[in-house]
Amino acid sequence: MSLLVRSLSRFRLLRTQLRFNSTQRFKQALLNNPETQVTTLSNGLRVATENTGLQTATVGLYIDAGSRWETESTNGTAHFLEHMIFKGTKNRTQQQLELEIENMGAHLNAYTSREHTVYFTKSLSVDIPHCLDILSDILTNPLLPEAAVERERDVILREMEEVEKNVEEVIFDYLHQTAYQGTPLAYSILGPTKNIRGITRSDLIRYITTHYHPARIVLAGAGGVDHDQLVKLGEKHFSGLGRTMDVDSFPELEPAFYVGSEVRVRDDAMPAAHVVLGVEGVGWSHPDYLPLMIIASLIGSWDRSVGGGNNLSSKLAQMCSETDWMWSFNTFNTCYADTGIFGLYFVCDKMEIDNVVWNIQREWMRICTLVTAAQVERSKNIFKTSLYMSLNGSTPIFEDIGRQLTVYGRRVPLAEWNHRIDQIDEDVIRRVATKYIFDRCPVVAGVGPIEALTDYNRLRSGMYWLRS
Amino acid sequence: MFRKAPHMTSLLHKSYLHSMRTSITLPPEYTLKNSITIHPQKLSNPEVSTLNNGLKVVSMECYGPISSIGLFIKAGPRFDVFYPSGTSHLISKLAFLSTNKYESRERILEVLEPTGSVTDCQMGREEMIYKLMGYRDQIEIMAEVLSEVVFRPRITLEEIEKARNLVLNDLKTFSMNPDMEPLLTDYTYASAYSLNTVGLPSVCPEGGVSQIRREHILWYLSAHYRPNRIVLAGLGISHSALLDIAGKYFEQPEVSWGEAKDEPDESIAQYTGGEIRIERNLPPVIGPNPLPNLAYFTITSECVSYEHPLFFAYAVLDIMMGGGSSFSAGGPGKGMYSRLYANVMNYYTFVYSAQSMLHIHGDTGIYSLYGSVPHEFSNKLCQILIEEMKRLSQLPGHEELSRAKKMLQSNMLMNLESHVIMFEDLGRQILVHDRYHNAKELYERLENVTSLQIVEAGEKLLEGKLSMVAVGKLDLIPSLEEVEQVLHNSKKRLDSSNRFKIFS
Repeated sequence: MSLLVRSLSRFRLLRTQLRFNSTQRFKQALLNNPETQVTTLSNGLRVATENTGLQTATVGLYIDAGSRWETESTNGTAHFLEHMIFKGTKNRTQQQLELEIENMGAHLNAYTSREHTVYFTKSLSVDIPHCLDILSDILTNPLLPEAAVERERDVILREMEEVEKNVEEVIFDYLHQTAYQGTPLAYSILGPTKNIRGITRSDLIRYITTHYHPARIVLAGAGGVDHDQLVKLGEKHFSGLGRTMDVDSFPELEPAFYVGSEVRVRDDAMPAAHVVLGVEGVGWSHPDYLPLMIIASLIGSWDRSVGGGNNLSSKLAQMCSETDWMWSFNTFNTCYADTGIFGLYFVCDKMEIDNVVWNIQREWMRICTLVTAAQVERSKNIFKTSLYMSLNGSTPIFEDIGRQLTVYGRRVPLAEWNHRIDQIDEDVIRRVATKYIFDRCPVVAGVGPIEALTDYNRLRSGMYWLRS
Repeated sequence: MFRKAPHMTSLLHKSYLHSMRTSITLPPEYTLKNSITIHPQKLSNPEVSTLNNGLKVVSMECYGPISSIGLFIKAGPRFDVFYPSGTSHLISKLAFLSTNKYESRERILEVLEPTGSVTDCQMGREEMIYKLMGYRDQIEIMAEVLSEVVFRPRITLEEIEKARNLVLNDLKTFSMNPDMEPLLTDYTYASAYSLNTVGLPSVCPEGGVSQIRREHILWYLSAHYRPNRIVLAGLGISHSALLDIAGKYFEQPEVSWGEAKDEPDESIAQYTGGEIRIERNLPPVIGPNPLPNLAYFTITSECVSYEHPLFFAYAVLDIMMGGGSSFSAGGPGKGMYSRLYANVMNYYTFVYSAQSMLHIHGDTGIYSLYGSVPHEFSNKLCQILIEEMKRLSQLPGHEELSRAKKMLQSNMLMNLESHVIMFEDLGRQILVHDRYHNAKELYERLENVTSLQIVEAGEKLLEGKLSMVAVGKLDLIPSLEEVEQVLHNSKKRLDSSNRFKIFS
């Protein structure tokens, strides 16, 4: 008997030792990632690269400007500009530009968000100089011909129709409209139809000269990209940028104010109810950003065509698989410079909205008060994996470099992410959940057959538990 | 009850209280001792071994903290012929559930918790993939779970019931998808191969799911999930480590279904040609702005298998034709100057989508043109696509050919940036070809494609028997016979007035 006990305990000892060694190895593997190199040029433009030695690469410009810097009458300009910038330059016609890219087998793309604008190319590494020549040409010498501006209005209005077909996009626009009412974060990225019809060439040029200042731009590269080469190319192509701009005239970021409120757009012809419930979260660099991300992975997501979620701790996913109320749900933690929205977007049967809302709020209250160490541990692992797996390919890494340089002023190494996440325990999660969710005014947006969506006062009273 | 507030100073040393803007000092275990450098040769050339039982093992190294391990199995809808239609579809929904050792899915997730892994089961037309992706140092736990879920699943009646519901949900989702994928692909295969091999449906037919019983599933698994039909692949692991794991968990796997009763269907795919027409008014897409009533169709011809010397010419031809849908995003680089974009999409604004599609297998292959359009224009789009097909027998321009080659080459290299794609490519190539063609080799073979080969490939498409699928409102869609006549007779055109002769 004693022999058995001893051998068992020895076995356990051996196992813990093995574990220890393997976590050590894991941490070593985290460090074995190429370092992000950053150089600041004399005009303030930052060049940042991660060289993974591949034969292909993504390079581009990550600009700290988006629809949030617009006013009511100019809302839509940033997005309009993104469209127009591919319409030819002083050196290239639109067709020449497109053919040059396609003949290289490269991709040229751009997108605008509420706070950022991104232009990038993905190509063979040997073509980086050519790609950068094109990128600098479209940003510094855009032609923006009047006739093309006129033509593009219809294209953007058509795009708007497409966006309106996507309920998820529509509902998140409503959510921002109500949560940040009266501040520029409430604007949609595309802008109202009136502005799309009215924006002129000079509005576009003014937007460039006001916002595309080198100090607000990161030239980032990932994949097979050499840092010194990119610095040289940056100097060659962008050293003239911003010479005429006055640093003191930097537009100031208007603060955003969150208002707990609701918007309901009822349409009984739609097959399911779409609802977002949210509370105010934090900005990118806030220390509570990571705990909120872990709470988001704890609540998880679910889709009826996939079935069981991956997180056991998610009571909500469990509810979904045991009932047929929900079509899908998704937890999100959207961040901006100084604020954010944490919440849940769900699609459910129109007769079950009240049940679903009640269960969501009960789950939120559970996390504020009763979440266990094991559940937090599991969610941390899920979050870590999704973090490491998201850096899959040169384009996601390029975006990560650009975004982190813009919002954090540096690239946070993987090892530091890992260490920061390791520090978070169930006490932190309860404290943070209580701080942002418990007894806070929610923001609600509903689209579809939502007659039965819980009344705001009842929703508000579901944001706390009465306990001794 | 009062809880003491945590003392602020005791909290301040915790790094999560610092803004993400400031870097923090990391504990000593984060100092790099000796960097793990991998020889570049090992990053592009996998090692392959075969175990005594016939199971193949393939592995390759990669950087980063994440590794993948998975089983690639010669199974899937192609082999459904002796079983109720949709058996594979149902089996793919039964992955990673209870096993002999682990009593529930929850238990499996609990075991996998320290590995941080994500589980996935994918069904292709002739392969099933079970894979796990997680922390590099925890790959052995992942391998053990993989062996359990693939070889020793319990497949309880309750689980089958749940999986049936998932299949029904899939059917609902597919019918609401504006692209009609993957139903249309299924119909295309069915029209080209009638009901042999790859022509069998991958999506369970409506009403068919209740026909599949537990015994069918077990018979299916016993026939197909045999070591000699399986490849074990690992990305981010050394070959010797993977062989150790293979020896432990996959050398003589115990199975939960006993002796095999059936032999798998090994027939070679037979292209038959044919026509499928499904009349229906499509359900509105979810959302405030429904689509107009569309007609969807594909025109298909037989091409070649992977092993054929013309395969690379077809791959280039497919990119040269290109195309896409009118609401697809993306800027220059998506194939804006491919023929279906330049000559069709940009020219005729009523077209919703016009796209070239290539489906290749180990023993056969098909090439299709796909179009969707508001139904009143459907005969027009048919005519336009047939004209494009006819042009395939003409010599392509030098610029468009070299552009298509370059785009394919760079797309291939870009795909290899992704861990997920790299891993699937590794397993699939060994399963289908028994050997790995690396990027360099494929790059050169694409480089060698000539314009004469493109013409040869195009002529072969025009000579062969056609197949056709039409779904939606069909009043103006020509029959297969009419399409063939127009294709082979340069003077004949599809004329909308012909269709109403019956009223005159």
